[in-house]
Amino acid sequence: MSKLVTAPGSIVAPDELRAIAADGTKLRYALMDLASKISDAIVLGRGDPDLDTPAHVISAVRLAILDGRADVAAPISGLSALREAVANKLRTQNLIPTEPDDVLITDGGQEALYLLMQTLLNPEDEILVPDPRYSSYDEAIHHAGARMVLVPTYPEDNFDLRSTEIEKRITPKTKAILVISPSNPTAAVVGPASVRAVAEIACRHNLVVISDEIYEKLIYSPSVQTSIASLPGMYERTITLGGFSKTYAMTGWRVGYVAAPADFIEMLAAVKASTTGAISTVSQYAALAALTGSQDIVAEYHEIYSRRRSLILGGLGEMGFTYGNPQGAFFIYTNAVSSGIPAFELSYLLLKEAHVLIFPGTAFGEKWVDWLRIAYLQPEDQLALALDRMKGVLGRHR
Amino acid sequence: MLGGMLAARALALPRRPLIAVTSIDLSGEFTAGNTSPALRELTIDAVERHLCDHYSRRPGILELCGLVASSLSAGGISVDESMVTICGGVAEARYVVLRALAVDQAVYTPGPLPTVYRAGLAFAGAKVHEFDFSAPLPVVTGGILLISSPNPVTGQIFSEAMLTRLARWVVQSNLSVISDESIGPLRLGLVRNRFAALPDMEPRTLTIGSFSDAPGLGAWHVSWIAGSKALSTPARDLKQSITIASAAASQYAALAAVKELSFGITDKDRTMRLETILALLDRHNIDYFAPDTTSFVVAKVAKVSAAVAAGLSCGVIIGDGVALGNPGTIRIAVPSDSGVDAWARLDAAFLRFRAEAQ
Repeated sequence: MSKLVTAPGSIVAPDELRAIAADGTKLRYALMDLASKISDAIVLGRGDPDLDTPAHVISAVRLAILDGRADVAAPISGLSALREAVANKLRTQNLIPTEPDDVLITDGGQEALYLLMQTLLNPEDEILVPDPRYSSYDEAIHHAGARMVLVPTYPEDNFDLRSTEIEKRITPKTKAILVISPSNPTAAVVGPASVRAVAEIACRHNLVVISDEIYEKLIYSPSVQTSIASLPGMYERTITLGGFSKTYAMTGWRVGYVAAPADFIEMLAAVKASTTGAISTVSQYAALAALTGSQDIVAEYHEIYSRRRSLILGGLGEMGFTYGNPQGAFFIYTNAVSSGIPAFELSYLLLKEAHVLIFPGTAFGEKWVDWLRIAYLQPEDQLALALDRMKGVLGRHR
Repeated sequence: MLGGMLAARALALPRRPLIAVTSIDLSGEFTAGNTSPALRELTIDAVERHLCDHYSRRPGILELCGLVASSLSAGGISVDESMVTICGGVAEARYVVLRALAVDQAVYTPGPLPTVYRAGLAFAGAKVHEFDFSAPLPVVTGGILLISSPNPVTGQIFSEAMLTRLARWVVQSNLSVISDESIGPLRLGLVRNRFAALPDMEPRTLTIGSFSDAPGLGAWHVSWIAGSKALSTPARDLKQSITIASAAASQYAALAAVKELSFGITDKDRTMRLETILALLDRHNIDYFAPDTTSFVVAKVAKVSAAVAAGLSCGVIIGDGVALGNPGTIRIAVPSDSGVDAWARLDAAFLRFRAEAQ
């Protein structure tokens, strides 16, 4: 374990930051606020791609605004053309037998999570969630009054799911299993064998599977994505989440989707109509253009992320940090124990002295005190500069 | 299988039929139709400069929050941009505010309660007490007053005297206030009285607002909430927990709406379009409430479902008063553009409704 560094006035994080350290969301936002006050900060924190929304999407939006389509309210479930395009994509690319009525368009993946937890979970229901995890899952489950049961994952497995860990946490109150692949923060891809094992457990215990596949297009060879809803007998019990923010660099447009059997989608639409309401038509036309236009940009972005990933992995290795084999998304979850500084303090130190924003692992689960999550969402020259600065600071404090 | 595993809170909600999008939708709370050329140009400019690609500042684009704050300050309410959150639409704003502030609270509201608030109140576990405004106000201690002016289902506003009476009661009863002021614009000659501007109400009140002066923005789903930090912070945090930030393009459209003074529609235009609907109703001998807003008209009909069905069969979607929480009525949004198609379809719908009613 890390030694605790307590040198007064040096790298101990301020009390106001420490006071919110247990709340992953608040901690991340507080660090982002601090970074925003540093003019030359290199931000490797938030999962917001630095790349542009593709040009053909921008052109399509321009047309939709000019010809008035953006002014016409869309149905609560989403534009029918977009639902059809999502269903077609899921059928052909993910092998999930989806019809347009099985799709609901949402205000990003985060709203999708919120709505489906509200629709699915009663107070006292239990849902199994892999740990470490993005704190939005905690919040969505908390708002439904349900109980989150953490399923540990292990660095030695590259954070893949262990069926034995799932199985032993199932109780009569368990209603659902959350599968996140690729994972935020670990970048783990749940392997085909693990996906099949989860499916078998879900069927045997009559559980719902929520499969968050928002990073599905960001997977590095030789790993492959297996959509659990495509397995025999799984479509009827699986809710698949996806979106446009990460694949197409469209976080600002706030469009995601949920795919599940139509009777569940109908209820989800009723909850959406009575709570958050429909989403903006213009954003839906942006998503439609992204999905139905040329997909060359997806490969281009993938190549960019792949180069950045190699660069960061190399730099971390030079610093003595370990990272297993991050197989997806645009994150690296790295063990920084060799620095001798707890990750929470190290994150603050790197921000204050190196002007590099990296989130501590504790923002994704209290036990991850030696880990950092790095989002490689800056150009390569900035990433190289960030690594240099980090090395310099670590050299002074080791 | 999934349909049999739903949460009780979801099962309690009404399901809504999907309606063909070829119909003209006049069922909403806001002026239906098109945005102005000026607003479109400004929004496209932001889109093409890639200002809409990424998450906006979480509570909303700073300039937009600042302009909302300035507008409120000009009306005598001291708020700054840090007390404003841009939401994804009025439905979201209402839900977020109720879900954040009304948890296990007693909520007092002049009845009847519009349906638009029901899910937020139910999910928050609030205990709703409807009261008759014309009767003596109830003796209570603590809780929330939920007020809407104009009302989203009747279109009626509270007069300044009525609001002042409520404000005195709020102080006596030690209530917080959620004031939904999202409906607009008001008819010529009427003045919007913001509840938070009344004596002692500013620290107690969270206001829900929209950009309804700009026609056609309904489909862009953008609104705001503003008020004292004690009230606005929990609502802001919940909004961020649900959707992170509002769609940037919609926020830039709203920014254009606030900055652009000419929308190609004047108060005279709005009134004329409203009068056209009233004239149609007169022509078909359908009674209506004298509207306080130019956003929509509320008509009185004995058979609401028949009126709505007549609309659908003629290609126009009319608001169903029963579903909205105002039985015996239909709601018809005022179109923002020429409305020629809308008038013709409404005329045909009213004709069919009358024929079937006789």
